[in-house]
Amino acid sequence: MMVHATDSSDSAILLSKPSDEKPVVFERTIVEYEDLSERFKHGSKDFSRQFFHVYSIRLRALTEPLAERAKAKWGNVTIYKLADLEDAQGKRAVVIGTLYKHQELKPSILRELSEEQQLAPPTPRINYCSNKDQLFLEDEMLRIKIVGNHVNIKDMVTGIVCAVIGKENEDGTFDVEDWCFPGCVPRPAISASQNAGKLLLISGLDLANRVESMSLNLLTEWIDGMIGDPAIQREEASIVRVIIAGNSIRGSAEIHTSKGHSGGKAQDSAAAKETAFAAQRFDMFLSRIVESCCVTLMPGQFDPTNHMIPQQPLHPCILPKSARFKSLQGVTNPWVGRLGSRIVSGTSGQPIEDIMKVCDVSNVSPLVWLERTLSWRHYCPTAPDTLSSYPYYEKDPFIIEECPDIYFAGNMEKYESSLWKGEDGQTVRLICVPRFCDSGTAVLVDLDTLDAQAISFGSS
Amino acid sequence: MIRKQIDIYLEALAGYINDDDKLVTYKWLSKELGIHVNLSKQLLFEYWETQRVQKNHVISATFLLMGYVKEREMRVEVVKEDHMASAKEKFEKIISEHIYSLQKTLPEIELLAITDKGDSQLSAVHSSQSVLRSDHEMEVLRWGSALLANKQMKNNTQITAPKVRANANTESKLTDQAKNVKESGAKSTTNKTAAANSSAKTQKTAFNNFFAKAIDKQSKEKTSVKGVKSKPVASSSSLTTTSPHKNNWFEEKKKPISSDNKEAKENPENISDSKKPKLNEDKEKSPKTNLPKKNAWFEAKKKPPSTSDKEAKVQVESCSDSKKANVEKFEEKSPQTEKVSKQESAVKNLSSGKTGDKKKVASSSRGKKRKTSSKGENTNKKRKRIVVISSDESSDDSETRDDIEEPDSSEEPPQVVERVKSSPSPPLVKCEGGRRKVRKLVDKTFVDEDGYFVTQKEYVYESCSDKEEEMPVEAAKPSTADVAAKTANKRKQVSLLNFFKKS
Repeated sequence: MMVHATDSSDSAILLSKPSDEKPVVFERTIVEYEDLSERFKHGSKDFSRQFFHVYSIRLRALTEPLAERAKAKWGNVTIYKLADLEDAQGKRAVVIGTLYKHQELKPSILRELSEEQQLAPPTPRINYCSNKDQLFLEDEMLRIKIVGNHVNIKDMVTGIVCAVIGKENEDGTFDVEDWCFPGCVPRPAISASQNAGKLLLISGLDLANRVESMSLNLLTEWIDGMIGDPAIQREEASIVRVIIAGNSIRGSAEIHTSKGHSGGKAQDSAAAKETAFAAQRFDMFLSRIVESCCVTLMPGQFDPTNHMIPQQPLHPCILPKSARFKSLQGVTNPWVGRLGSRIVSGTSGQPIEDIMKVCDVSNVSPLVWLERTLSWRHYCPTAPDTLSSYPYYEKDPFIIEECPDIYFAGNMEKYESSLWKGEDGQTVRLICVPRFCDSGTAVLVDLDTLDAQAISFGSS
Repeated sequence: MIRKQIDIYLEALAGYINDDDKLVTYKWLSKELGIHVNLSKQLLFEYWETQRVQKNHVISATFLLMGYVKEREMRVEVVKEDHMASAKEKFEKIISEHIYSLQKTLPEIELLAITDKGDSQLSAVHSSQSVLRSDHEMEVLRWGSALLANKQMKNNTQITAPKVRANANTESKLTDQAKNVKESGAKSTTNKTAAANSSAKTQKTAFNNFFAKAIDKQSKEKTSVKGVKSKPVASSSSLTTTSPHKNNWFEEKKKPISSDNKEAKENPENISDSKKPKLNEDKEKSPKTNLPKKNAWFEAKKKPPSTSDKEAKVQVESCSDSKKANVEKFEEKSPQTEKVSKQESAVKNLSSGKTGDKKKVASSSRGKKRKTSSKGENTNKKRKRIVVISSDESSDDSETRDDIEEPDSSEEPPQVVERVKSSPSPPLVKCEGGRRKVRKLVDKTFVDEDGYFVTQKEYVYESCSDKEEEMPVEAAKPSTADVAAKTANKRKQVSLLNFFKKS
């Protein structure tokens, strides 16, 4: 007797009595996998350098593609150095440089020191944006203030390399007519190979602050191919890889245990214990997934690894059980990899979060910022200004070198996705992966069609 | 599927739900019975339906719903049987549903989260890529390939030399206990690569040395000296101070202390020259009688690993013999003060006579050692470790030891003070920043380039602890008291006339 009749006959199998049929077992789809983020891995660390080099090498690397694009956009124009701008004699001129956004509200260690007498520390701000913000363009030697009606200061962040066309005013400012960004990296012609399989993205499990939840259980069972009927399980078997985009062990700096007891050392040790316990639970969770599926594990802002980006892979000793499986790959954040013929890249969310702090949050969705970082050709332009990063001096690894097919940012407020089409015919699936602890939502991407869909777990 | 089998399963299921009052989820059931998850779901359904038909509706069920809430948004949800209808309204299209769990009552659906996770081997999806990493791969993953290579090289240079000897020594004479240690050590070390192995080995040998020593001591108390001699003496490294050595040095030491410097020079020739002057020096500089003894003990430790067991034993014999003679000679020659002879007799009692008495000497030496350690002078970690062992094994004859020791520690000081005065060495005690500091002999142990442990003696000034303070204070007390008495006498006005005279 069927109580809950459904329109699919396949789904009725499990609402029937056991039959003589042999239960089906599906073999998980295998897709070639390659980690392309070697450039984010630290060799020997050298913190003696200053951050100035990051900007100079970034500018040097992006000047050439920018000059090309500027010429394509504005015809045959002369590109000036800021120092030679006087030669233009008030005519239209193109200048290439790095943007610097002057923000009074931006946290500054020098100001903090000078205001040490303040009794209460100022509350951390949601964003540093104000109406007094000013925009400058810097090249290797000079800087010039940017003005004009075409300037939307709120859309710009420090660290973007761009070309501007306009005129120098008499007061030494630069009146901008138009902008040109490096643009998304052109994609080499790809072989039309079939990409079977699906990619699952999750982020923000935050096990330090969440108890064992039904949604997490269901997620595991779904990935493992335990729930559902054979038709569903066939779908589940096509998940070729799970990408965990950060903040799996800890999702915020909050400490929950032993609050109000004693600060300092006691609290530190309590936090350490909490993290260790959460890491253990994460290891349990992960070990069940890696038993039947490949996992790419990225660290996040609050995970127990280095804080500066690029964050290095979580150490295998943190995850003793799951690290034994070959199916677990600990990777850096940001990360670039290849699945079949698809290039997948993304971050655990810090760059986008930071851009939103620098700009006004309210009107622009993170998805737009994600798209803009593509056209800026840089994963995290605000590093090292407001986002701490390693002081590179030979090469800026955050410059986007390859056009991704799937480009994601983890730990976002809510799920968003769009298919972005570039000027050179690039198609990029942009995804904001929501925090799982809040939404219980993961994102499933079809590697063949680049279709994305959210899948949420829960109970009611 | 054979019907009979299913009936057995159903019966078991009924038991789990009704008798054991379990939250029976499909995954738990599949793990418990070792069946495929889909079969498990069907079993739950059959049981649930028979219960419904029979109208004795005592069990509650939860269902799993899977479907699309809207375009491109899937939802997986577990709902209670009662809320099925309302839950289904949320879905645009349901693509799958099945029983998730059966139980008597379920107050909170989240309770299901803490049930067993099931066995992924019984799921409908298997992965050929989920294989375990080999031990070597793990090692590389953990330490990085470059670091690992580095480590391996270091290990090789550091370990091989001492290890070989240690192994030769211990492996041949392993007692059962040591073997046990080895086994457990092997078990605990999961890393089986070359690097890990070598490190584990050093650990093991250290353990073995340690135990061999302990066993050595234990058995020595039971057996005669001959037995002791045949016992394994792990001399591979400075780690291992063997008790024969100790005795040897202890006895040697004792004499110089009780006699004066001249006597000391007549010490047995068997002692190597390099050690002799040092001993004398020690004696001169040491503030307490305990210290030289300790030093002697250190000396034994310091003995380079190259001295073979045999040599050491020969030394033991000859030393003790000559000492015996010495002691006797001394007694005849110089019937010094009461206290000295008293102590001497104690020494004689122990060292002369039968060789079997050696055991007593050993124990007494150990007792003193313990005493020194209790004084809080212990700075050497290794020594501490040995002390711990000896203290609990020799607790039985502690009374006799105390008898011997007491005069020793209480009556020696005067002599020591004398010696200190005559010696040209730096002062024992000095004041620095208002803090009393005592010059002490401390040994530093480190591993040299060749992998040997080297123990060096150094004199350092240390601020003295409470216990150390006692002795010097005691010595100083009478004099200050005298002076005080004298001055008090001087000041005292003898008569009325005196007063007027002064003025």
